Amino acid sequence: MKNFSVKKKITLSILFTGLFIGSVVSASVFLYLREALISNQINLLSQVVIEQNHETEQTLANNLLFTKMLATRTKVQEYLEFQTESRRIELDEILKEYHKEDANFLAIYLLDEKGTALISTDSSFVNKDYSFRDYFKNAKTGKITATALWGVTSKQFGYYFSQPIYNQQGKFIGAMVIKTTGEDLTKQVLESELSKQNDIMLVDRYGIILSTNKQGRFLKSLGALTEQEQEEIKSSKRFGDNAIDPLQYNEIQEAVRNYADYRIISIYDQEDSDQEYFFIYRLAGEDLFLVVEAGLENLLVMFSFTLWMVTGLIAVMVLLMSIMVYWLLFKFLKPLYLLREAANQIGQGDFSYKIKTVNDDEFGDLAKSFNLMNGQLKDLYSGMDKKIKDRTKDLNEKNKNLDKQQEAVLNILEDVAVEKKKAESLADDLEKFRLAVDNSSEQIVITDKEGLVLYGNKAMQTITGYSTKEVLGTKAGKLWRLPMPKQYYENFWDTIKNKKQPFIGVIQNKRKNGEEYDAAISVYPIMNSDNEIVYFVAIERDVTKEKQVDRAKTEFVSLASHQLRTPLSTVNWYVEMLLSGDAGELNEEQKKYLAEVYQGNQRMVDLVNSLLNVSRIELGKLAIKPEFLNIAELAQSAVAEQQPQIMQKEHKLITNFVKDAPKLMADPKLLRMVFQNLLSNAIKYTPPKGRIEMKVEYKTKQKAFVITVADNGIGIPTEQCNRIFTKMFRADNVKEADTEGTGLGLYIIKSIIEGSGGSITFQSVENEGTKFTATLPLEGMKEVKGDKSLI
Amino acid sequence: MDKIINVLVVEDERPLLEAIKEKLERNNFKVFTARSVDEALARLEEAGIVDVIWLDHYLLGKASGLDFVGKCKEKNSKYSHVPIFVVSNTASDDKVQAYLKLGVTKYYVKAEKRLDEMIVDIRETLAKEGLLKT
Repeated sequence: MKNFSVKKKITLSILFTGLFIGSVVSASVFLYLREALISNQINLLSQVVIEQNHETEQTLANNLLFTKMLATRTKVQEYLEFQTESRRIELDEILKEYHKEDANFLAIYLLDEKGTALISTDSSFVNKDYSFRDYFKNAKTGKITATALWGVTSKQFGYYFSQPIYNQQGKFIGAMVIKTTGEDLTKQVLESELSKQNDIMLVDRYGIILSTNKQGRFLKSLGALTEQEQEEIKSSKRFGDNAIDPLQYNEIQEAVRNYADYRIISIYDQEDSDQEYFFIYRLAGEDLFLVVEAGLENLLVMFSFTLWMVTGLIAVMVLLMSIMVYWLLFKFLKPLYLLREAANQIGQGDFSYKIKTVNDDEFGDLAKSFNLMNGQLKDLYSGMDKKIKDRTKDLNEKNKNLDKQQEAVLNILEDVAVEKKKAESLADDLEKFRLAVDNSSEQIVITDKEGLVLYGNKAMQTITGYSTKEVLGTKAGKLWRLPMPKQYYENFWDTIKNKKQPFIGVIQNKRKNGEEYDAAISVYPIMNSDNEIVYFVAIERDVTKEKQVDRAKTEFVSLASHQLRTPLSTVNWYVEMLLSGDAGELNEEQKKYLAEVYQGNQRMVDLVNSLLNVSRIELGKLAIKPEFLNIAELAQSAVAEQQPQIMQKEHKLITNFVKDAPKLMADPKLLRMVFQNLLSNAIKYTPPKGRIEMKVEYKTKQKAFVITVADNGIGIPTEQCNRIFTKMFRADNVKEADTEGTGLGLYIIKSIIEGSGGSITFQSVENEGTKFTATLPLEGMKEVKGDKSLI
Repeated sequence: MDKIINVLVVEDERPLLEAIKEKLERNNFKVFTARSVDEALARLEEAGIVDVIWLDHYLLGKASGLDFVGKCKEKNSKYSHVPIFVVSNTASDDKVQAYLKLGVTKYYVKAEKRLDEMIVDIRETLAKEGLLKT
């Protein structure tokens, strides 16, 4: 529809609108006409029916009147009263005369007061008893009767009219009856205009059809009969032996049964499958009813034909109108097509195109204006061509400039993107650091260079119990630090602020809840690129538990040293007393044995002492108390101490101790232990008359002392060289030599030397000798406040 | 013959105590013994004059040799002048220092010293320092 031209759109719109309106009108006309036609037809029929009835009534009345005329004749009265033969013949003649007069008359007969036929034009009736007949019964009660019956004698259907006969005193003496074919009655009805399109029936009060133009309905009841009715009909021999079959019209039957005067009933006739109208009319004063069954099918056929005619006409009209509109539109719009064509031509650059004006109407004006515009456009266009060329040139240049600018901007954007990426990754890194610091299990506090807190992590809150809010801006540690000696603080600030070095120590703190604890603290100065302090970072750890564990360990060592040595002392002293003769004089053998016990016990004491030293070293609780000392003097005293052993083994000892060397910062006890150990090893593991060389040199360049102890002893097996400083290790050849030793000495002195920043090495060839070289830096040992010194 | 010296030996270990007593008596000492600090203080009271005290560190009961020295060296103590020789196996440096600080005369490591060595040394020390009153 969208693509249709205006012309088509309008035409189609009219077509569809017309069809729609036409349909609605047709439908309305149909509905209205149908009702109107039906009601009109019914009215018409009613009138015809009523008219017909009047005629029928008239005929009935005529017959009754004739009967009355006969009945009221004096001769009839006289005969009935006296019944003379002459009269009988006379009357018989008269009746026969009348009978001949009218072809409708089947019989005329006279009944006595008992209902017996005395005279009859039909001789077979004579002396027959008709008292059972309605017409007699009615006559007896003074009623005039017109009825239709099946003749019991004649076996012929007929209409019976009866009149009662009275004597002078008014007593009932008989009845005059005329039996007719009823043709006079029915003919006019059944052959009327009405009968051409409708079924007409004359029925009695039982609804039994007496006359009809519809075949096969004669002597059938309109609807079902009740048992009582059937009994009555049977007993009155009204229809002889004829069986009365019912039709389907029970409603009509019921109306008749109720003596309806005039009624129109509409029912759906299943037999004919259409709506039917029944007109019921009771003939005046009689037990007869006229029933007209009006089928409307013909009417409706005609009606629908009319409807189709109307609809078809409307459709044709609409179609014609659409065609006309289409043609008209084509006519009107033609100038517009010309305009369109012109616009197309101009659009393609043909400015010379002119519209041929056809009319002088609005379209003509438009065409003129269009032609004018076209001329102006032509002028404009020719000027514009040059302008466009110029402008295009300008634009091209500008575009080039823009491209350059764009490139520059892109470069900048690229740089920005790189920077952004850097910044993002920095932010990422920062975030990582922040998370790490925030969630560290160690307390981390950052202060400015004056020591005012800028930051405290979560661990600070859990360890000290103070919230970040309480801590920020305060002097670091002011809230939780326990007072320390003035000297401590001087050293502290000197280290971090002046020396710009980390401070590491243990201090006493107090939580917000008052609980005291030990904390290992490390404070680091943070410098900027100009080496100026900008922050301090303090990392603290609650070491209360560690200290408790250490104390427990220390206590154990202390107790063990006592407990282990007590029994050794006992053995020592009792052997001593025995050897001293305190328990009596001993023989040589006893003395020798006890001397072995004593020696063994001494070794045990050495072993225990060494073990305790090892345990102290390993606990990290070895106290170092360095002092300035003359290393040569110390070496000399160590030699002097072991002189007896040297003499005993007749070794040759060559010493060379540095003179005028700077004083060394060292713990004399520990350093002595180094000399003692190296020298005693050399003495022990060199066969008698060996050569031992001991040197202490000072290397100015390295600012270090070098201690050398060399011997020509049994040496160390090559394959065991790597285990010589191992705890409890004793080389195989040493064990074979049956010398005393704990296997701990070298381990201890290596620990001492390395703990002092020095080193110890050796060279050895088995059975040729060994040379130990220890290097000690001049700055020497650092003080360590331990709980234990070596024994 | 050397002069008889009254000595109080405070030592918890019975065999050691007996050995010390035996050896001291053989060397002309009159020996009083105690195994705890309380006992030692009671012995001091009984003995009247004690010339010298031989003391171990670990003793019976909770109190140690340090506590005993502390009491002896109190300002108003009758025994503040009595020289004390600590003979103990608990020879850690800090303890030795603690004893010396409290004013004991000497400190011997039990397991490393012979009894006769120590007895001779005690006698000599007392003589040299003029610590014997009588």
